[in-house]
Amino acid sequence: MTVSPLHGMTRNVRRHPLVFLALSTHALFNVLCLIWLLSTSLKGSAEIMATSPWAPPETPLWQNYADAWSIGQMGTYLLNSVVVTTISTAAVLILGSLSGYVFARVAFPGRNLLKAVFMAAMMIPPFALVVPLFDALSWASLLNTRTGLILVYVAMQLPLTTFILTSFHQTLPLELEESAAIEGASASQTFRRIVLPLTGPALTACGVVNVLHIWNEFIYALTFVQDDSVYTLAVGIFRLNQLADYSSNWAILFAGMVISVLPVLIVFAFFQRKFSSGIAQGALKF
Amino acid sequence: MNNVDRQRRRLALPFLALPCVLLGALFVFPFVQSISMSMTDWFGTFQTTNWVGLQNYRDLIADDLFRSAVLNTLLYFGLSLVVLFPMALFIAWALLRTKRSRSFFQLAIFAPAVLSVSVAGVLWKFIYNPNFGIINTVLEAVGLEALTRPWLGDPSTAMLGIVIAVIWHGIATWIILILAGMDRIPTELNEAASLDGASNWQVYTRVTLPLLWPVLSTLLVLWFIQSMQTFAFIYVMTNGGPYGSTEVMATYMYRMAFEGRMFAYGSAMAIVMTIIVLVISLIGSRMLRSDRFDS
Repeated sequence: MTVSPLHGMTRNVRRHPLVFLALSTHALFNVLCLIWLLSTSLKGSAEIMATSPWAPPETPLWQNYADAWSIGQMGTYLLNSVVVTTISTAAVLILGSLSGYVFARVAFPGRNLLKAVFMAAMMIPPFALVVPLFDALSWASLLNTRTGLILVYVAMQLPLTTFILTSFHQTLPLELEESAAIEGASASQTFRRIVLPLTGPALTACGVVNVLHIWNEFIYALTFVQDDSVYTLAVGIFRLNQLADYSSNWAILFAGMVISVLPVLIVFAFFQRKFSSGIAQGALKF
Repeated sequence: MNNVDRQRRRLALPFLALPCVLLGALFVFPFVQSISMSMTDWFGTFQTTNWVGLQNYRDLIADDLFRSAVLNTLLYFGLSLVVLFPMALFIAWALLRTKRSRSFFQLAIFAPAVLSVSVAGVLWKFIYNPNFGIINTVLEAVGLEALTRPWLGDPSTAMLGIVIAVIWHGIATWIILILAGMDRIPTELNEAASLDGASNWQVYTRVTLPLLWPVLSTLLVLWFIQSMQTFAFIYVMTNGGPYGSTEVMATYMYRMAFEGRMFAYGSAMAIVMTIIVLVISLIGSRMLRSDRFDS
């Protein structure tokens, strides 16, 4: 299992001036985008239209942030995203651990068929499910609810997580479980006390992948939630943009974008390492 | 079968019950429903629904708009392929050659990947904005006024504009995957080539790239599968316009199903997309089996 492709690398390589130039250009562009976003978020809507995008705000309008938070409801959207992502990810990790362990360790009739169903589910694009899921959620009165979204996300992420965890469980030595059994631990105790703690690294990687997918999910959130008190950030920003297109109220939109961008960037800066190893694992999605 | 196995076997039912119920109710059943729906004329809640067999699929073949959506999807795939892979390979190569400032570059280059797709899409909509966007003002500043245009409002540049935004947002993932692939190439090979007097470029093109090919071909399949389903950026940035120049299969399907209430027709389209993805996945998983990434 690759721990981190970027940090584990020790290689004798020669430097090249082009390298520095290319990386700097790319990095500079991204930094400029961020500066532009921040500076624009402190301008008034008329000022945004009238002045150069590089001109600093005449007087910084911190009020934009307060407006985005209350009028633009960014606070609600942020909370919805955090709640939906946290609960879905936790549920996926728990359920994925259970099914991953059984697929890796227990021989029962129909196992291969069931495994094939999990695998096939990974290949079905979300579009093939969006209409019937809309129908199903509406039948169960779960449209416009966070519960509905969470259920859909858990089902959506479960196959990949199970798949990654199954292959991880297969790499764990059987001897540990056997000696625990000899000491008198029941199967479920062995799972809880011995196996689960050992899957820590795989669970972290799966956690990163799940959080990224769920936080970013757009189609289902767009379709199954039409009520602005339940919007996730992804849909909230999109709707805010639609509103801004009609009303030319750019100030709130830009402040809203900063609100939705800054927290994830800060979290990302802290967890960069986990992030890249998580993505490398998630590549198994296929 | 020993005692441990028997004990473990008792876990199967309680452990698998909930995952199976969820997957059955929210994956398997809806998928089957989607297939059967695609063979009806379901038009929304209050209509009677009739079985029409493969009629929707026949209509699809005759639908000019669907055909142009397919072509646009392929255009999206082709354009992004030409930009994404060379750029990701180059940045991966470059990142390996920085020492002191690597973590800064990584942070700056990978950061967009954590932004929500719709946030990234909206951001780029403004970067391209003809009045206060960055692109046009930069072009004006360097004396290239002739090139300025409403990037997303011009059918000839809209798709390219979207592709650039998608790559900006997603390139980190591909760089990480390429790096993970490079990580598995034995260091000695590169070093040996270096010692034999090969230049950086020669090592890269003659040693690294050929050894990386199995990984790259897998990533290629992965990108194709993702391209076939591309939706969010297009929906957010142009919604298929201008004049249908960025209408892809997914946006067309979504429009038909949820704006036109043509659920059956939309389902037929979704099934066609699924078949394409499945066929390519199966071909791809062959490659994956002979060349598994890790674990």
